[in-house]
Amino acid sequence: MLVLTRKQNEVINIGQDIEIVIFDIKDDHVKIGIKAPKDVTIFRQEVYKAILKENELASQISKEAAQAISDVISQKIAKKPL
Amino acid sequence: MDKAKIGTTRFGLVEFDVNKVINFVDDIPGFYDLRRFIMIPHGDNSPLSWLQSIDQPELAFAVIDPWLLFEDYKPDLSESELASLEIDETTNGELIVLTVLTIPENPQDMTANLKAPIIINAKQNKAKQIVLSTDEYLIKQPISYNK
Repeated sequence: MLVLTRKQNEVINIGQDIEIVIFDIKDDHVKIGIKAPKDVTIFRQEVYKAILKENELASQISKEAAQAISDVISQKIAKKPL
Repeated sequence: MDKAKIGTTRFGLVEFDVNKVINFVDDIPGFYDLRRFIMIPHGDNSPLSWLQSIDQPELAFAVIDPWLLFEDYKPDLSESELASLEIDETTNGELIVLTVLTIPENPQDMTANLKAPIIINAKQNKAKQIVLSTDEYLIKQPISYNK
């Protein structure tokens, strides 16, 4: 891993298309601006990992379990006033 | 209509229209390089559908229109995210939002992932699971159905 030290307003380039700017440094956090092509996904790591875990859990669903909740959801929808 | 068949663990052999395959433009977190899916309705009167991988027979997600359960859901998608799916002002009717459901051991504890909806450009059959930046929606949003 490459570790760099930057001051406020300084910039890091990754490849030709990605730019990272230090916007603001305050107390224990830093505001970072990221410019990247639209096909590059940017996310906070802890959020990505949580989504990943949830997707794995979700993918374990069985057809029978889905049938059980399908009926419940249909009932819930039916009860709603129009 | 060009048809093909795939084996699936939940539905057996499934025939589908190759022109209706949904191509994810980015990996679904947790499922590296499995980007081709088809939609299979769960049943005639069911609000559920399945997003079935055509590359891996065991991989499928139960999905639902989020507004059936959460009327006020307002997924805010950034311009760049929409651009990655080639969605703009002209796409309107062909934008589909789906929520992935998680059903733990006790079905009563089922949750919906409102934080990371699946967005589909139905015109071009492109899709992506987009993570909303707001903290308002949860990855494990409880579905209360005792009301």
